[in-house]
Amino acid sequence: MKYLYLAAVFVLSVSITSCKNDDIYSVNSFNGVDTVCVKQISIDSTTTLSETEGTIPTDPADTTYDDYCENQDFGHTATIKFDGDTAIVDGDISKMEYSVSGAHVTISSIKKTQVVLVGYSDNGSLKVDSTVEKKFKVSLNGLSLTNPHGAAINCQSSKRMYLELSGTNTLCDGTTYIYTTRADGVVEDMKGTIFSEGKILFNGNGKLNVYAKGVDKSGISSDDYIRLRVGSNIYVHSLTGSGIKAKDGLFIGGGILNIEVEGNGCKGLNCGNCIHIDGGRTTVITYGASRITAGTSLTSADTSSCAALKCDTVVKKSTGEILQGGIIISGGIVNLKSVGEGGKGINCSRDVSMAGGELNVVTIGQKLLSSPRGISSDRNIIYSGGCLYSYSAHAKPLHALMKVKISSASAKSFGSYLYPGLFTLSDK
Amino acid sequence: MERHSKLIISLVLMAGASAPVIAGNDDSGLWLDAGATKKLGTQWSLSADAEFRTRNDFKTVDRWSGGLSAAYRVNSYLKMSAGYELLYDNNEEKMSFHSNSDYKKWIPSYWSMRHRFYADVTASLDVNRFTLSLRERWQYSYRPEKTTDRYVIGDNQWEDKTVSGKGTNVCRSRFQIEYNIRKFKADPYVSVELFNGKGGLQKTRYTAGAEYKFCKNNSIDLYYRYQNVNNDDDEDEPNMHIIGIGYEIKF
Repeated sequence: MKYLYLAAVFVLSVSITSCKNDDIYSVNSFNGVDTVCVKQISIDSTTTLSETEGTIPTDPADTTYDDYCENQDFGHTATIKFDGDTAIVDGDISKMEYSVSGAHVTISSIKKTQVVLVGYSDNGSLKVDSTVEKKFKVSLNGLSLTNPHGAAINCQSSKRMYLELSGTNTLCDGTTYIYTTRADGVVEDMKGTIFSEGKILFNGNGKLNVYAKGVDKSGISSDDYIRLRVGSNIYVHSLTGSGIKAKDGLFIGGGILNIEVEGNGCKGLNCGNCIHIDGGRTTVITYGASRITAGTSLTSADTSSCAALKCDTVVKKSTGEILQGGIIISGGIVNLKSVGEGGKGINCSRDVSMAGGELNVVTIGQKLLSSPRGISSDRNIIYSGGCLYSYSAHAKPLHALMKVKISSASAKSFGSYLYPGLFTLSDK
Repeated sequence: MERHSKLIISLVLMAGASAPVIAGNDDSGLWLDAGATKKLGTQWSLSADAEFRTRNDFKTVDRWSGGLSAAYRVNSYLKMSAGYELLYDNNEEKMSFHSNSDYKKWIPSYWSMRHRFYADVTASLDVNRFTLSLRERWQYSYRPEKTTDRYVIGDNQWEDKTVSGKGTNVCRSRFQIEYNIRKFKADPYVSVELFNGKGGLQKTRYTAGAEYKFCKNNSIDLYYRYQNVNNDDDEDEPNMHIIGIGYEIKF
């Protein structure tokens, strides 16, 4: 009987090792190189961008008209000056109601007013109550604000929040969040250092550094959509959550956006609907490994690995509408890198489309329980223009459950998207 | 008896362990087989079996297969059988070259299906404690058309390559001598099998092994096999050292 066990162990060990490809050649070997030149992707906050903003819509019927603060009337300006453990509200406060507790300011009503935040506090915050029923504007002008128990800017209103950047600003949350329960028993959300139930619309020419330390908290989070414009320079660092998380859409029209996320299974840009990028320079680096453990089901496994860009199909809670966006890159420079085990560049449950601009993807993590693909789509990857560079050290540079469609007649490719290594597409 | 058992099993395991060492330019692999046979009366029986093979010095999966067969025992000397097998093969990469020896086109390894039908007649004769048997088998294998990827090296481009469907006929002749050791559960055997097809002798298999009946209806077959390839029209197979382990249950 002992020999039977010996034989079984022999069979098992041989079977376990029987999973290696025996191909001698690879695409790279035909090009005279054993290792391809892998693009260096790193955070660059200093190299400026020369770009001009497109036309700001002037027709109120335009669906994006209200996303531009230039089209709004904020004739009143109030100032909140943070100073250590206190905050002073000053200026034209005729159209707003507020309360102050230490350096924590809560706005309960506001109309046609922009609020300028300045100063420093390591125990302060700005909260906009759910009672606010009008669009409002917050200008950050040389602000350094940390809330050790929650979001630095916490907007419970579902109205548009215009966030204007001037000078250099730094926002930070704490490791432990303390939540507020309303009179109706609802516990208020706080999903990140900057959180809003409504749209977050960036503008201005300043710099913003955002640090998220809370467990599973994002740097910037909206339960609606987020829009970034030409001129902004934003850096986000998240320990265990996403860099930027937007439930209904993420639109990057310009500016410099740098994101680093550290945690396992974390996403750089995470969106439940659609991500449109048509300008600026976006750089995202994820460092974590996947959260998958042996025995995890495939469905949950797919959502548990890191991705620089993640776009899902979700059901909108308020309307029940199924949001089926996708990722569209039509301009700008997008640099994505994932270094951990199973970390992807782009992971999208819908189509990934590239019509212009420059997309650079590098994944160097090991392939264990999750595949560190360069660009992965549950539907199609559609290329019609621009420069696409995708390198995956241990998985496919491109993976589409349906099709990889190359519709540009002038597109030139290099390498294979079916095998680990480099694949490029360019119409230049 | 215990000494005989240890000797036979040790010999087979040692042969397996040494296969990669003695392989040289030859390849080596493991073949695992599990089968079940149901007797229907005294003459008919039905069998089902599944097989797993490796190559590349045991490191690469080479084949998964499964099959069904029926056998009819005419008398104590003669048995006939026929069956079908579905083969799922991992085809090795293929490279073509220009006349100046530069690379031309490359097909990476890929998986494909094959269907196999076979019929055979086995004659056997007991001489003292030896059993001599001769099996003559005809087999027809059909590979359906398959589209895979091919890399055109000069153009740095991938293209679709359609590998056309193909059928092959092979006649296999196997002569085997089995020895029944008195009061011992394992029966050692040796065999030689010739594969004749298009172009004559394609390959020859030399096998030495033992079948161990560890209880009434269960047996394990351990063997070492050397496969010498002469002229295989289907694949550029190398010579192989094979360790085989089979399990069979009879109902």
